[in-house]
Amino acid sequence: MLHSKLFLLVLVLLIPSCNDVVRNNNNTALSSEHRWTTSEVLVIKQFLISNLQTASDKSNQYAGDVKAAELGHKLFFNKKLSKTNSISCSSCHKPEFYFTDGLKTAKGITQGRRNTPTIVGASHEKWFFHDGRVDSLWAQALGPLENAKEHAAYRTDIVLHIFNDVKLHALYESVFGLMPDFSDSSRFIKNSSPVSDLAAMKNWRQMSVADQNAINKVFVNIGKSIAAYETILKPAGSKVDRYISAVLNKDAALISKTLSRDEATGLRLFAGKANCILCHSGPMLTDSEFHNIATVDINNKPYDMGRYEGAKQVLRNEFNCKSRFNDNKNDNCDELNYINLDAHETVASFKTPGLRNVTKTAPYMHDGQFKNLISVIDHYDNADKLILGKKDLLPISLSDRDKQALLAFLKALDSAIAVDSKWLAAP
Amino acid sequence: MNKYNKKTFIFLINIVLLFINSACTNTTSTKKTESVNEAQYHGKENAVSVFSEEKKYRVTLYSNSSPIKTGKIHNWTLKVLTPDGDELDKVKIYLHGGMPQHRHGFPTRPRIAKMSGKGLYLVSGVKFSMPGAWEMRFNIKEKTKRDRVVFKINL
Repeated sequence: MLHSKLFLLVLVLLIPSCNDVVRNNNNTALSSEHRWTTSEVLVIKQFLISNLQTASDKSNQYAGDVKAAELGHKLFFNKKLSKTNSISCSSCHKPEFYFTDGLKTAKGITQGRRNTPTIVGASHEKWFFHDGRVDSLWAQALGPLENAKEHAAYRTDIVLHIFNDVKLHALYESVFGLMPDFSDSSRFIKNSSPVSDLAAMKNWRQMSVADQNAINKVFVNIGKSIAAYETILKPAGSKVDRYISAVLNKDAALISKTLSRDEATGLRLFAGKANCILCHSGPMLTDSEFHNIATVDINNKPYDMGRYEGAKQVLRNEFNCKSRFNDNKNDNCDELNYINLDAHETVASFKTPGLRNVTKTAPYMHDGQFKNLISVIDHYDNADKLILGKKDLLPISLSDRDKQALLAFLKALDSAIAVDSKWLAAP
Repeated sequence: MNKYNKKTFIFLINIVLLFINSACTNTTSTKKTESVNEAQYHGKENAVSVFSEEKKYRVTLYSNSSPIKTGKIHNWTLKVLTPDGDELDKVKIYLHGGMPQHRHGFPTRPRIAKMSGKGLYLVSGVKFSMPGAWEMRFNIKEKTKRDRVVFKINL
């Protein structure tokens, strides 16, 4: 009897010394879903939006310039920056859809093949488009303008529009200084572009190199001003942020009030058993890298090769980090120097999207193949179909209850856009 | 308490202590000599030095940045010598690695270049895109022999 009493005594003495469970200040009883171990807290605190550093794209010296953002705001909603005067950036990046379009794949001048990603928080990315074929936000803004499926505009026409529009011209010069004189139509030929159709490329080659450079400089500044506008668009904190703060502050009352038990269970699954955190990490819930998550069906040709093509394209891109338009002259462009071109690692890989306000950006995946979030969760739970390339996914096993909890957590990431409402509509 | 009961009691206490310990701490199963983590790794003073798998080379890995941040490209220094401490002639070193548990390699394509200094090489362009268990596998090839060494990095 003596030894069993001693045994119990040792147990009683030792168990409270296990300091792994976060205690709360006011001793309010917390349900098991809301109790977090120290090691779990270390993991989930990475999601806090307060960890988001101020976006600082040094390749764009105008990224934080309000005047540049005003110009970018006007250009973002300007349909005249398209061949048919019918498409603007906001045609696909609609403020009412959290700057997406709600469509399976984007529709500009014609139907595209990829789903429109949001631009809210995009200034924190380092690669752009689903395949990362450009490496700055300002270079991204230029891509759709000349893409035949999107704006299908010609480079000189875009620049000439700014030059001929009195208000835009004045606003441009207030930011970037004097604009060159583009009034000589024999030198600055309409319908000219180095990356468009053959006739436009022929026109472009007829221009002198100096005149091409003058056009390029203004064209790049258009991208930099649109990027300055997009840099303003950031997500506000969500219930999840308030919850994690409460957990860090050990505020039991706030913990149980901020997230439901289902939402807290979803957070625990997200950061643990469901493996979501392997790619969806950090304050924007993305690692900003590329992964093959079994979304390119081997039976469905033509294949979208994703990062395999994007990696090659960014090295060729005339506006990449190594271009003379990079405002950071000390940039060693290591992301390009050490870019991974290995087909084994890149085929059918796509950039991990951030998940803040993910409920507002349906449908999902690079091609919009899933209509809703529960289909996405089902896909991860059962991604064993034949796919192109080598998938990065680990097998997981989720119950229906787990899936509902994950869904509840994803919904708890909803928040407003942390910006004055004037920026969320056409100027 | 007789002798038998005492032994049983001590055994039970040990089991309980072991159980409580494992419930309270997070330990990794990797060997201490090959494991590098953010807390312990600050450069030359904390270099990890091991023999290659077939004991053909002595390999030392130095971190050139501390703490090791995820998502940032950074460099390492590698020292490769014979077990007797001699420099190798005409050696080729290849780096592979990634997260074996997640079935993916490095997000970047690191490079290895000879540095001045006995057996020293610069390993540049390494990036760990997420926290977790990473591996850096160095394949060392000479004309007549080859060997491999694996460093486990827990972030």
